[in-house]
Amino acid sequence: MEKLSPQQRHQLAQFQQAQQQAQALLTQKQQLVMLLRETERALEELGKLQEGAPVYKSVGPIMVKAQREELEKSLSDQKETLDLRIKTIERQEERVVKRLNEMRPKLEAALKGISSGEVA
Amino acid sequence: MEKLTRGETERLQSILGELRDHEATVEVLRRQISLLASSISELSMTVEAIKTIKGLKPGTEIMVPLGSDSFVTAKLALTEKVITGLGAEVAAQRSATDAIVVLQDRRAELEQALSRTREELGKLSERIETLRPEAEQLLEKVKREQP
Repeated sequence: MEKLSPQQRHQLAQFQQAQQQAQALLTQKQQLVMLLRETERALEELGKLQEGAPVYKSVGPIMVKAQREELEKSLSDQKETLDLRIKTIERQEERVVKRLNEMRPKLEAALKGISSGEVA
Repeated sequence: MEKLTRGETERLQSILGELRDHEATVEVLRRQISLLASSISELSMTVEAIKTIKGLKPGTEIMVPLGSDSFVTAKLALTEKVITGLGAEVAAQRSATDAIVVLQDRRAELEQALSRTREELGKLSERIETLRPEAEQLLEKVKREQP
């Protein structure tokens, strides 16, 4: 680390920051994808229920009786919102990955220079 | 006194990086296995409870858990209907028979996921076991190199 120039150190810090950002976006996306799958599954299960089967919505620790159509609408809206949020995150992710790919060769070349200096 | 060649240094860095990544993944997989196993066990217990309730007569006295090892006595109003979660904070009443089928399907899915995760963990552990001796050999050489 001591052998890096201030500029290289700055590049390394930026690279690490971008890596952390990519990781955070990935985690956020995975959580949203899980929520989306759960919502889709709930919609599918609602569709399979017998006509007139009572349905409930969890509100904190209690369950409140609800109308099936209302629940279907609310889940469909939720699905749409999740789809949009995932697409937004994917776009952010693409930008960060592109930046990482641009930074990586420069950083690798700089680090290789130092490492070969050590081995020689 | 031995010295690592440039190729060996690069190889060592690459192996150590790979080992670090694999070990982190192994940790995640172990946590997933533990979660899956506990969900499977919970589903099995629920299926057994529904089966038992289905065999009881309405009006049978049962003990409802309140937490902290405390219970209240209640009488079963319905034994043929249960409410099960559909996900996304939505639940629905189904016949006990349907609920058992749904829960057993869910358990089968989780068992498949558990088996896939165990397989993945096995492959990763094998890869770690292959890489470790090479890394140890190179690290030993580095130690010998030091005065």
